[in-house]
Amino acid sequence: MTLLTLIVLAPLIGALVAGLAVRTGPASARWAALAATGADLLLAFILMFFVRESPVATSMPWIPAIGAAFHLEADGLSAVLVLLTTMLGVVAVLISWNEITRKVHAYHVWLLLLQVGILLVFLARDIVLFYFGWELMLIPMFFLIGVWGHEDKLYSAIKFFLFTFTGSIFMLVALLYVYFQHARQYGMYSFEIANLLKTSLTETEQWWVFLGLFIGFAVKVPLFPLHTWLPDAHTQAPTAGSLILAGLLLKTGVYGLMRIAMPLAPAGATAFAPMVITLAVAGIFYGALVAFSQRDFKRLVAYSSISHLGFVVLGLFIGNAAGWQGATLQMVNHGLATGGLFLIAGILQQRAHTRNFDMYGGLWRHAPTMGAFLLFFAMASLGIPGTGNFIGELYVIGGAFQFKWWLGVITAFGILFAAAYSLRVFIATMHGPESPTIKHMNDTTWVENLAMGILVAGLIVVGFVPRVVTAPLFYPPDTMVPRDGREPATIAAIRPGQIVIPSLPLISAEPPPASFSTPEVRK
Amino acid sequence: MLPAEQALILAAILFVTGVIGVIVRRNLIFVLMSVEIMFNAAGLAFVAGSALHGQPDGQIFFIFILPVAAAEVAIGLALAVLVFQKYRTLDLWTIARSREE
Amino acid sequence: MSQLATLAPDIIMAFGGTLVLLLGTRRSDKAVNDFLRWLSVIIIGGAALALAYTRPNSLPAAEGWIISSSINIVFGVIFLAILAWTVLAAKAPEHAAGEWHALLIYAGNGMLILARSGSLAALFLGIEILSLSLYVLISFFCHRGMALRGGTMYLVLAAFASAFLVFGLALVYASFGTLDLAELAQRVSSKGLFHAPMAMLGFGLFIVGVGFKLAAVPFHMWAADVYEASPGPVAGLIASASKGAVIAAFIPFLFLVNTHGDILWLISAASMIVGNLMGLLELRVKRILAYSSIAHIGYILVGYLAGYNGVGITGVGAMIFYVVAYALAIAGAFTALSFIERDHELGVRDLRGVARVSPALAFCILVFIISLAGIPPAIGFFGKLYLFSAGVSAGYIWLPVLGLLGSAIGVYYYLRIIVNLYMTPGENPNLKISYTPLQISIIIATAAAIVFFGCFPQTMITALKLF
Repeated sequence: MTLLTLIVLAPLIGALVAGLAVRTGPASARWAALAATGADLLLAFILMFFVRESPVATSMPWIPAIGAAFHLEADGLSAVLVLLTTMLGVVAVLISWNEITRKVHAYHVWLLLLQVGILLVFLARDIVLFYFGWELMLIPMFFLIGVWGHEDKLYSAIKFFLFTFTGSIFMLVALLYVYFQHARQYGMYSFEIANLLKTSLTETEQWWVFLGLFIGFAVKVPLFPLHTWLPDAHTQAPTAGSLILAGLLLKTGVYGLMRIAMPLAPAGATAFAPMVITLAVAGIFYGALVAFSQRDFKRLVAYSSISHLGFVVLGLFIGNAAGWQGATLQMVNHGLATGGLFLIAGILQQRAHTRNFDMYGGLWRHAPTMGAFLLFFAMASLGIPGTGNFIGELYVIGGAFQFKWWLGVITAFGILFAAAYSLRVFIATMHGPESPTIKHMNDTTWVENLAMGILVAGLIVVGFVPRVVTAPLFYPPDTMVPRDGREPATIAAIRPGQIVIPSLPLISAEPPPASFSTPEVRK
Repeated sequence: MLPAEQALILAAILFVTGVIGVIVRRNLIFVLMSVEIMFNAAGLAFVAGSALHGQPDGQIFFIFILPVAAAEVAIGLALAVLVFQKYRTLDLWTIARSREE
Repeated sequence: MSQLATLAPDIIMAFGGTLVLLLGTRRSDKAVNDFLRWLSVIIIGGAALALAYTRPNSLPAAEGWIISSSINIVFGVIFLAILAWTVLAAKAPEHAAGEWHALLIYAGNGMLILARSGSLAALFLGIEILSLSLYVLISFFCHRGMALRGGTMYLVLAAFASAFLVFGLALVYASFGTLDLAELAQRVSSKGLFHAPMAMLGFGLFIVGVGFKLAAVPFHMWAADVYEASPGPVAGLIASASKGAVIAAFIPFLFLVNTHGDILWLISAASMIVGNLMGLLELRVKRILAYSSIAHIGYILVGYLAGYNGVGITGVGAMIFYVVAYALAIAGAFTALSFIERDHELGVRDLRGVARVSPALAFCILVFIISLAGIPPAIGFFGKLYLFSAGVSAGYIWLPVLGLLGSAIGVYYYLRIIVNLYMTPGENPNLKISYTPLQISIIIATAAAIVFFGCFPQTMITALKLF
């Protein structure tokens, strides 16, 4: 169906329009970008409806010479992430409306190209197309940070680029290996994920393949200790850049783990699961602790991202239904909540020209709207009921308890640490003695309110109706179950008996059991 | 008749002489001369090979080497004139070490 | 008569070049300059047409010295296209336009012979004609900068390497008794090389000579200085077409992979690593591109080692594709950089401010650099993918891994260029960029082609298979 092609093309057309309209004023670029992302958001909503019945797919031959096809396909997981992408795209354009004043056209071109890359990653079912989108994300993000960033932008941009590029090399080697094994076994050269899933790899091979893929994705997630590029990149990027970086780019890493790494090499995933879980837990606490000690608003939020993504990866690798759903929920929630925090950070920086907490204080009186939003996002970040984060963390901790009871206990303490830095953000900015720097700060404009309002709405919706995110995980039923070859690929399928509730592969036909799932999962 | 193998050995000796000449000599003209020696060594080797196999191909190749080497040297000498005009020396090591002005 | 048809492209080029040379002596002003430029393009076009209409596998000409199977014709057309590109995009010197264009055409003649060589003699002739033209082209603007030094250095070293090459060929001839490449391949495979130490030595010397021409490690020392000294479009021509021509001539020697495969492996690996590492230290843009060129030869050699094995695209096919992809990017990059006027060698600092003065040029340079680095949506990405896929499917695991690691290292100096181009404020108030409308349109078209074929590489693959 051409719906998917349209979704991918919309930002591209917007980029072309914005780029060619250089002679006209900056407003044309902004409106073109808004139109493109808005249309994309609409298409994403339509996609969510279509995806319920059957996967939405588009497939065209692209490079028959090596067996690469232009194969886009959306099942529930992809559709949810596409919706998140487009939503954050609109928010990004809105928040950049008044912030970006120089080279506006180029800015929006890069922003929209970045969207194209991200959408390709979430929708591609062909390895070459996936890798194409993966690498396509690099240059626009590099430019967004390097041209419109803050004081240390060059260092951060280059570090981001080099880390991610090197990581993706390992991924490419692993993928090529699977490609050639498949060719050797089936006599057919194909880069389709569905075909590559049929390759039979020995256990050792799966270990190596998983390692390679894992390095590539773990850099992006980022998983401790490959996280060092993140604080700089998040801090130095312009607001929309931080938003897309935290909200979407990090999720591409997790998505890669879910869609490619774990299904292709389940034995490897099982073998490495203890190590990954350890790293994830370490990341949770490390991120939280370092976040708490930060003086820089954005840097604090950046480290909080590491902490939150630790929860997500933990949820993935404990290998039960609760974990998967929790991970997906947290992916969406983190995008919304941390995105909101970055928005506030950007607004504050634009007005006060500083990100230092020592310069903030007592803002509550002068800018109550901003205070209200910051309160909401801070509470969301620590997981207050009513926001999606609560449900997500509940799933993850519950899943951890099922896996190993002491893991659940440890993870629960992670929330305590999250509370520490979330409260610190709020109190340091809003309460306390009034700082002269921000005494005369204006409250948020209606555009900024609109942008943040979208995020708030998302968080509340997920908080009260988490089915919106978890149910699509089971759309559409019976998709992509390998007919022959490998078993349904999750960790739990490999280790029977250690999981209390029957595990749920990502591609299963059965709905989840009653506990730890949303009530009445449809279909 | 001289056995062709001996001609090959002579060619090898000439070639090594030329190589040493290129490496050791500093003057551009002498380097070009050494390169010429190398080319002619190759030509001799071709003629020897031609004798070994009783075919005219090697001799034809030699006839091709001659004008090519000559053209090379011609261009080399033209460049030598220009180099001397600019650098006032033909010492290759000095020229190689010269920075841009 | 059919031999004449096979030789037609060479005849057109040789006589055409002489015609241009003679016409250029009459007057030299802008009108004559333009006229000669278009005349040269017509000559090159005529040769390309004659080449394209040569039926593949028609009779070899000149006792088998020139063969025209499809791969030869493809290479020939590619090199003629690059040559025409260079003729159009270069700024010819006003006082000697005839000589300039004639030399370019003669260089093209050499490339044509190399692309279609069927004999050791044709190989030698082609390399020499190409090199001789390049000696003069590099030092053409002899009063400017280091041009003369670069030209002299290149002459000495290239002549040295050619002598190695021809002596090696002599030893091979003395062992096997034939100059014909097909015959040679047959005799080598039947007799085997290990019983002929003289031939082994000969081929070794031959590889040394070829390695120099390609600027592969450890024969790479001349590359940085010579590229920097040459006029931009000439450097682009050397890096793309002249190296491509040597590669094309090297392909019939694929049987060497069996005996000298280890040496070739080492050369490839060393080029990828050393080229990328040394580029990190450089601050002058043309030298960075020169070292990146060394690394790219390493990548191409991976395809060479893969030979005719490989997935839907063989190693040889991947090489042809890469020659085109690389030529677009490197020739474009060198030429675009030559538009920036300066009185000293172009350093990365001099790139600052270019984006403000000429955004189109800066964007084109960005596209070229992205293609060289191998990042989508530029065609360089697929070029590398094909080369390394072919390498892996032929059984070389570590070489492509080294290559990918090398590219990761190399990305840093590409980033340095991009950062200085776009992200640092300009320091030079006297930054002057000059180009004619023709030149900038060619650059923009090249950048557009890189992006287009980067998104739809199948069109290029099909086009290359047409021949």
